[in-house]
Amino acid sequence: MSKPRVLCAMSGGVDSSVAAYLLKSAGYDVVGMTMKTWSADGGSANRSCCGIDDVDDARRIAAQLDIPYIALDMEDIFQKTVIQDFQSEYLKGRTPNPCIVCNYKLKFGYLLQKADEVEAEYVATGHYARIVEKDGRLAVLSCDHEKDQSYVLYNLSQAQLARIMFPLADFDKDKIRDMAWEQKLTRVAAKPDSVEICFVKDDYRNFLKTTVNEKLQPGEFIGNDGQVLGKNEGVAMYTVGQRKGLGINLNEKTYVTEILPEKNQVRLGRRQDLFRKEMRVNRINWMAKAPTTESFEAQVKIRYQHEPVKCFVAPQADGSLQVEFSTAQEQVAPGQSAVFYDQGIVLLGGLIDSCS
Amino acid sequence: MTISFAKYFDSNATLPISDFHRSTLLENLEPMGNASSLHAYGRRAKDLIETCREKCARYLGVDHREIFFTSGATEANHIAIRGLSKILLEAHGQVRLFYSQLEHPCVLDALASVEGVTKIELSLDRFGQPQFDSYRSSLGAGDLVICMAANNETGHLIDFVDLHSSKSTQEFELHVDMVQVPGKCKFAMSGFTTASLSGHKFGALKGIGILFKKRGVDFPALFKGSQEKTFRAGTENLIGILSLSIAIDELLEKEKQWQAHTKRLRDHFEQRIQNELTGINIYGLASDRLINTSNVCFEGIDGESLLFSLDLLGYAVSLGSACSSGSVEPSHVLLALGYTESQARSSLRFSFSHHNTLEGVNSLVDAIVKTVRRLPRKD
Repeated sequence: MSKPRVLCAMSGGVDSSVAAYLLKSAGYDVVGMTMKTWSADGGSANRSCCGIDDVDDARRIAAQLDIPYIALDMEDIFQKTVIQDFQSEYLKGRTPNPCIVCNYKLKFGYLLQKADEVEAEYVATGHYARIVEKDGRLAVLSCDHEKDQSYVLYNLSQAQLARIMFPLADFDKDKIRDMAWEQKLTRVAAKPDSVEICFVKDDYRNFLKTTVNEKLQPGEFIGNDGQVLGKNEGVAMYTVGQRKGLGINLNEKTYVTEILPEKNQVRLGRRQDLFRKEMRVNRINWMAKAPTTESFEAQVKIRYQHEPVKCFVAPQADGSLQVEFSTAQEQVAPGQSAVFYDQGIVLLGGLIDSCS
Repeated sequence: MTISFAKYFDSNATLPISDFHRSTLLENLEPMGNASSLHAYGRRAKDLIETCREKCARYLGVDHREIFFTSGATEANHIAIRGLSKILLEAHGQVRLFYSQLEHPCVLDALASVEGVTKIELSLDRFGQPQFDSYRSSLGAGDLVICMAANNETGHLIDFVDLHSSKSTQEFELHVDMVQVPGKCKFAMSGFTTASLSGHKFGALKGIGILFKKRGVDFPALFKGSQEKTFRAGTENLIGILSLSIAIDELLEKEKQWQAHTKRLRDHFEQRIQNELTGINIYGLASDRLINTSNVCFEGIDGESLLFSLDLLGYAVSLGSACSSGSVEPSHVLLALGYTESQARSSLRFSFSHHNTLEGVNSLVDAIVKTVRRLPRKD
């Protein structure tokens, strides 16, 4: 009796290639699929992902693994969901995480839809994360190494989690590359990881300048007392905690401490002005933790690269959360995601709306 | 056959070589010299090429001096279109190139590469025939008409009767892409200036094709060399040429029975599909078509999803135009024939051959019906 069919998302990178291999060697009926999100020129030459070369690589790996393969053109919808959200969030003075939007709105949604079409019971990706069950609820459990990707997966629903497999869960990144070499998946074994944002080749500011330049309205830099310190290029060009590229010299280390989009202003200050004690989080997805109105303690990550810190969470009547950090945190950026953990398990997550 | 082609319904894309073909190839593929060499080894190679050339010519009903071997129909189309355009420009100063969206992408590409001429795209009438009417009386020297014999996607045949009669009195040039013809229908090549054929479409190896060039028409090759009477540079593809000859022998012997068999299967397929599913539209049922082709629009169904589901069950069929980069564009032919983009994306091409069986066709239809009933409708 053969194992069920799994639709495995293959980006053309080493992680998803090895994920497909692991599933195949475990006896699953694997079907590989690339969701082509972006086809900028020179796609594989630098950090971007899922361009034409990557589709070729994924197809080649599928052929080597002897699994059926399909490439799905998602460029249009990627533009309309992920890229547009990215642009509009920055224009609103927020700091988006497009990978989270992509995973939530695109990747898993379409993957599961396609899985139904091809009669696959499960879907799989090359994410470094684990799925566990706790008190009758499914949740993502982080991996013990720095490649853990549980942070970007907090939006998965219970129904989705029931059909997702993460074959790389128990492995270290180095082991994955070794396996790629061992299995002669040479096309991907030496490929660098795609880091940062897949559709931005260098700096997000250049991307915004190229794509939404007409919407960038210059405004003012202001200080703690509201005094005007200089000109800014448009709130989209800045992110909370930013120190470089301000184009202003104030004789001391200066940081972006706050963005005021309604007035098109960017507040500058010193490092100590970056610290916040509280934040409001909305657009919540309850994962391991069932929805509740009672306050609770948790560990929270407010950025992808952030060590979780202790906090107190008070659910509000409108469905948002008022969160108090046990120690003030710097660089709390509206638009970023806040993911709450307990012993590595994702309890819930949402978007940072404001902070104080 | 070592690999079964029983579930292969994409014959218009290519045909596999038969077991007989393979063994005959191996038997006849002796170590050879270079056909351009002056010694006995060279002469032997040259003899093989010329024997094959004569065979091709006889099969097509033309002179052996009008047959040139190329790497395929793509190359033949490029040679003809670019070459004819060039000499016409030199002779007349002004050139009109007539074509339609029925043409294969490689022909459209060849057209795009030609400069200095006036390109006139002909519209298609409701039977899918290119509309020459407004130009018919003015066609003459300095005009090049590009018109395929049979459309690879829909299978419908182009009606050359009027063109042929005009051609005999008016001196325009006519290039015909005949790729889908051999083995599927007969075509008289009278009046053609040039024509292109592709070996692998009628059971020869991939990578070999034929350019027909009427005697007395001279134009430069794409790149100069000594082979093929200086017309097509490069040491000849001996095994490809040999393969053409073997494929033609097979056709001469079996073409008629293969066609009868294939037509029966195609017709049975269409009958079952129409009986068992609703929202089905088959292109050109009332027109003259290749006996093996069926282009079916499954209204409301995503063609790509259907194709892939069939693929997972082992069946090979085709969408209008495939692209390995992962974005499938809707068929330019279907759009030109008046399909909406949605209808074009809901259309699949099934092309049958003597490799298929009734049993295979029945299981294909079963799979299609089951999948179509299961797939969600497009919104």
